[in-house]
Amino acid sequence: MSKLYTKLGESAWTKVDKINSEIFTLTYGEVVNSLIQDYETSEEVNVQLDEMGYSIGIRMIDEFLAISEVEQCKSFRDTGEILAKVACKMYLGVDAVCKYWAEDDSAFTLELKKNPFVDFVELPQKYKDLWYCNIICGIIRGSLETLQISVDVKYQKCVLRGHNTNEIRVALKSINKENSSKKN
Amino acid sequence: MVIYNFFVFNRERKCLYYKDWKRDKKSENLGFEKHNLSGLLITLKDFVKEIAPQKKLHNVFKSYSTNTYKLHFYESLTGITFVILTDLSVKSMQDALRHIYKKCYVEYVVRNPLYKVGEEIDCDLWVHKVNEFIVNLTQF
Repeated sequence: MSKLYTKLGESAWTKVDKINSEIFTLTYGEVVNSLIQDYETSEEVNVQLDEMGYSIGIRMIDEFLAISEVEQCKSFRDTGEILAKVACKMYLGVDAVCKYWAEDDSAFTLELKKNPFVDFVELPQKYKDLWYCNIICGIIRGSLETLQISVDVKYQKCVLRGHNTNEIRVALKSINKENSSKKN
Repeated sequence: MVIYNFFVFNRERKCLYYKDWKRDKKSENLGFEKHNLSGLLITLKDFVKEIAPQKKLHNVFKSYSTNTYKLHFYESLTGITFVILTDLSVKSMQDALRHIYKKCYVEYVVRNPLYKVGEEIDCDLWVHKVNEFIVNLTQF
């Protein structure tokens, strides 16, 4: 299954419009910088980045489905694999891995060995509580929510804080089964 | 072959877009019609899925026909549904509806920064492209 997703990821990567990675990194850096000036505290910036990501995520998912042509996930494990192998490849151009699955498959850690967001970035001591790439969490939350999968997403490790890798924990809260007629 | 009209609904049953072409009998109360149609489709979709002998989760229900028209239905995983009414000679509109989702909805609606998710679509480009695509279909 995993191999199939790797293939899908690569074919999606060839289909999307691309942007120079330095422009991308610098633009994102500038976004974070303006947020810091507007909101001052790291905690508040983290929240804002998550919110921004959420708004991006609820739109991005349509584009993702249209371009990658993935089918409906059969399980949350599938969701994780598609996120790591197809989505990360398609949007960031990097391979990601799902690890540390919870025993009941309801949570996993997404590991990004390489992360184009953090190139050239150093976190000053003053902002040591900032999760620089918190926007990714928002994006994951927003896009999965549009598919009626509600999740909690938290940054756990970031190379900018001196960890050796980037890790994001994704925990499943609930899946809304599509039985809208019963609900109404 | 004739195409009569076209609807787009979201998951909250709101009609995001409506357009008709060769519809002789105009609707007396379009709001009522949209509301009932979305309700009917949701029920039909769930019911069709429920009595299906095989286990398939998505896009089981594709169309229904009466003796005067045929309704074609396509739903994306994000819950956006595209509905088109044609005459009976049209076989399948699945590819066309999928095309509208991928090439028109994603390109001109989702990527339009001025469009707010969940609101009615009045982006000029979308209106133009969808109209152009449907009018140029062989089924039109």
